[in-house]
Amino acid sequence: MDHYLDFTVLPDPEFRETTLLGALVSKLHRRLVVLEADDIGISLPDFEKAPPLGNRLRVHGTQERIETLMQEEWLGGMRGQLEIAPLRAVPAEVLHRGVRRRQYKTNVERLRRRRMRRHGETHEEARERIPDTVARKVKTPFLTVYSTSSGQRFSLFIEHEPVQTRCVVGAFNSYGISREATIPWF
Amino acid sequence: MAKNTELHTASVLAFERKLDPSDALLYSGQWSDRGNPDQWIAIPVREKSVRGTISNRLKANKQDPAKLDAAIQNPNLQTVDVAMLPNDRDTLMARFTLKVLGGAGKPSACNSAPYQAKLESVVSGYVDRHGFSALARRYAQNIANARFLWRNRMGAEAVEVRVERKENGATTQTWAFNALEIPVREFTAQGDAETDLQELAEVIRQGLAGESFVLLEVTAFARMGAGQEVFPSQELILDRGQGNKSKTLYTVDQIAGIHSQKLGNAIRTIDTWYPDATERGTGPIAVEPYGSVTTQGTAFRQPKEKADFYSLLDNWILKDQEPAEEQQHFVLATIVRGGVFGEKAD
Repeated sequence: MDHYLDFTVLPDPEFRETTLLGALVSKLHRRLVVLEADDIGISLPDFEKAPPLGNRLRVHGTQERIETLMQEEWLGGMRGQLEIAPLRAVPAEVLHRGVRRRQYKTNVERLRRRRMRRHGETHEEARERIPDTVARKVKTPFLTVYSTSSGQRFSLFIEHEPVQTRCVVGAFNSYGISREATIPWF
Repeated sequence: MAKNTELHTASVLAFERKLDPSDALLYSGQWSDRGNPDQWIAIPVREKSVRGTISNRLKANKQDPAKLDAAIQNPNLQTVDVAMLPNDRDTLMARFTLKVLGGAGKPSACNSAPYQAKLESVVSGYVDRHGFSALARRYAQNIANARFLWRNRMGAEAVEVRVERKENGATTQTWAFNALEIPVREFTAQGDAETDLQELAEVIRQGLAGESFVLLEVTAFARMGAGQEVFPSQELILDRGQGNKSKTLYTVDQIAGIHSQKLGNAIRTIDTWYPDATERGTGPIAVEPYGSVTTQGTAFRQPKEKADFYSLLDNWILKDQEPAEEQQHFVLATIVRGGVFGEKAD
C-alpha cells in the first residue's frame, strides 16, 4: 500500500460526478475480479466535499500491483471523462483510516416479512414489533455499482472511519474495500 | 436612419434542422461478427416486475388477518422496462442514418423580406469567410467518438463506429473509427483517425454547403459483455395512471431504440465557446440558444451576459455588430440545429 493512483472525474454536461464515480468503481471491480486481487484498496479523498463522495477516486497498492492493474485497458468508454494522475509513492508521514461498506437494514417491510417467517407472526403482530419508526433515514453517501457475479445494480454505501495513527493490514474485496484493513490517508 | 425603415426581427422566423438523424435501432451480436451486421438480432424491450409489498394503510374493515394474508399474496407489483443483451452475445449494435442538408441560412418561414435579405447576406458573408469546415469537423468528431451512444458508451470496453456514405442506394465511401481513441472533450485526433475524420468532415461540409446531397449510415458496435443491460431512450409518459409502468423504454416495431433527438443532441455537442468555458471545465455542451445543460439545471449562455443566441443574432443582423469569430460559429450552429426564433410583435 505504499503507492497510489488518483482518478479525477471531469465535470460533464451529461453525467453527474456521482454517476461517473459509480461507473468507475464498477469498472475497477470488473478489473479486480479478473486479477483476483485482494491487495488493492480504494478511498475517496474528497468524500467530505460536495458532490457526495467528491470527484476523486484513489487506488492504493504496491507499485507493482498498480502497474499490473493499469497494464490492460479497462477504462473503456470512460477514459475521456477522467484525469489520471501519475503513479506516486505515498508520502512519508501519513495517517490511516478504514474505508468500509455499510449495509443498512432500512426497509421495515423486509424486516417484518422476515419476522413473520421466523416467528410465525401475522403481519399485524410483526408491525407492532417493528413500527414504522424503525425505518432509518441514511445519510451515508453511496455509489451505484454493478455486481459482476449477479449482474445487479446496487447501492454501495461507503463510510470513511475516523483517522488513526495505527496501520492495519488485511485483505480487500473485489470492490477495493476491506472489513478491517486501513489505507494511508494524507 | 429614419425610424420607419429600421430593421426588426421577423415575427415569424423558423429554420429547418440541417442535420437530420433517424432513430437508432439496437441489435445484439458478437464482437467478432461485426462484418455481418445483417445477421444481428433485434434487442427487444421486456418488462420486469419488481415485487414490492403492501405497505399502505389498510382500511379498518380490511384488517382481518386472513384477508390481509390474501392481500399479501397479491403483492404490490412495480413494472419497469429493461433491455439486455442475450446471454450468448456480448456486443450492442446501434444503427441510424444521418441526412445533411444545405441552405443553412435560408429560413423555412420568414414574414419579413428585408430581414430575410439581411440575414442571408450575413450568413453568406460567414460562409465566404469560414465555410462550414469548422462546424463539420466538430460534427464528424461526435459521430466518430460515438457520443451518441450516451450511457452505452460509458459501459463499453471497446467501441467501433462505421460510417458509410450512401449515394443512390449504394455505398460510395466508408470509414471505421476506434471510438474510444477519439476524444470527447476536445476536437482533435491522432494519426490515421485524424485523416479519416477530415475526410468525413469534408463530406459533411459539402452537405451543409449544398454542394452535394449527403446521406450517412452510421453503425456503432459497443462491446458491453454478454447479458449486460443496454440503454435505449426512455419515454416520458406524462399521465401515468395507477398500476402503469414506472419506466417505459422507446421501441420502434418492438425493437429497442434511441430517439433521433437524443442523437442530434449528441452530434451537436460542439459548443466550447460559452463564457468561462475554461474555468467551468465542463467541456463541450450541446448547441442550444441559451446553452442549457439540463443535468446541471443551468444555462451557460445567459442573456444578461449577451452570450445567448438571440442577443448575438440581433446584434449581428440588426445592429451590424459582428460577434467574435467563435460566437459566429455558435450562431451558425444554432441555425443548423433549427428552431423557431421569431419575435412577438409588441
